[in-house]
Amino acid sequence: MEPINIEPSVKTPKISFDAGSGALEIEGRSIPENSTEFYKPVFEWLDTYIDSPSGNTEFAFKLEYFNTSSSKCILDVLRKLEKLHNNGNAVVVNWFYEEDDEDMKEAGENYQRIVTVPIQLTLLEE
Amino acid sequence: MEQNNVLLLFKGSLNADLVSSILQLTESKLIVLNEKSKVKKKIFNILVECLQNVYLHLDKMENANVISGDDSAIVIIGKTDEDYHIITGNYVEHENCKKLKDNLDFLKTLDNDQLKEKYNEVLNNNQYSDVGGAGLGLIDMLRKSGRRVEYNIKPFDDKYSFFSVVVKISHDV
Repeated sequence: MEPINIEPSVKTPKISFDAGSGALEIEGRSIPENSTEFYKPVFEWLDTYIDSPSGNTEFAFKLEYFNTSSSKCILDVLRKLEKLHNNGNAVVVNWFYEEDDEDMKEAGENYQRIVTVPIQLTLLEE
Repeated sequence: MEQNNVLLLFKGSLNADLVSSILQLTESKLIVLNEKSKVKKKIFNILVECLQNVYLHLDKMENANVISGDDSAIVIIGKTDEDYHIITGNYVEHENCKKLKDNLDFLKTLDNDQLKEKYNEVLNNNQYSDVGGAGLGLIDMLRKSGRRVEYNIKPFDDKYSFFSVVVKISHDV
């Protein structure tokens, strides 16, 4: 399966998913006006990946900002990871936040309560 | 607000590129002001929601320019000794104005925990509003500002009112 690499822009994050190693990462800002359009290829890639995943999947959310329209897409990504996890695969989700960013930490805690896939809150070292 | 406390003032029709420019400009102003990263992030987050609310609404309106010429939207970012103020305003049809007002009036009665609950309820319902937003913007603004959101409605003609929203963000969050 081909990896997916999307370069970051002013309003969209860097996406790097490698099916071989199971290392999947979303990093930066996610504040597009139309987030469903941006995340469409990401969802499609994940749907394919779920059918033949790597032995271990490690997903990292390293977000600086995200808008409320992205928050639904993030939940959709987590739902897909939840499915992968429910299928009996090893999945770890790391939700990174900066030390003074209570809102980002709280957002991670909130997702922890909504989905059953394990989410680790991880302090991002400067 | 005193003139010299205005960090940014924009009047006109907003498009996606202008939203980016306003965000970048605000970010660089906050860097110059040497503002704490925590405050910067709050302002940026709330500003994104405010601008995208206005933008998504304008984008949907067919005759935004006809009714208001160059004044279809305003964006003001100000700073007082206590707070930052983010003011955004645009023309809204009376019917939608009422919906917005009722929704805001209701959300303002909720405490932090109830807002969080409401946020999750909307997050989970899998529906996008007719202008493409997720319907979460107002809830998020209230949560991130510590429930300091006010609005003002000025009737314009038989179809439109000018709806403006003020969000205040404390310097010491």
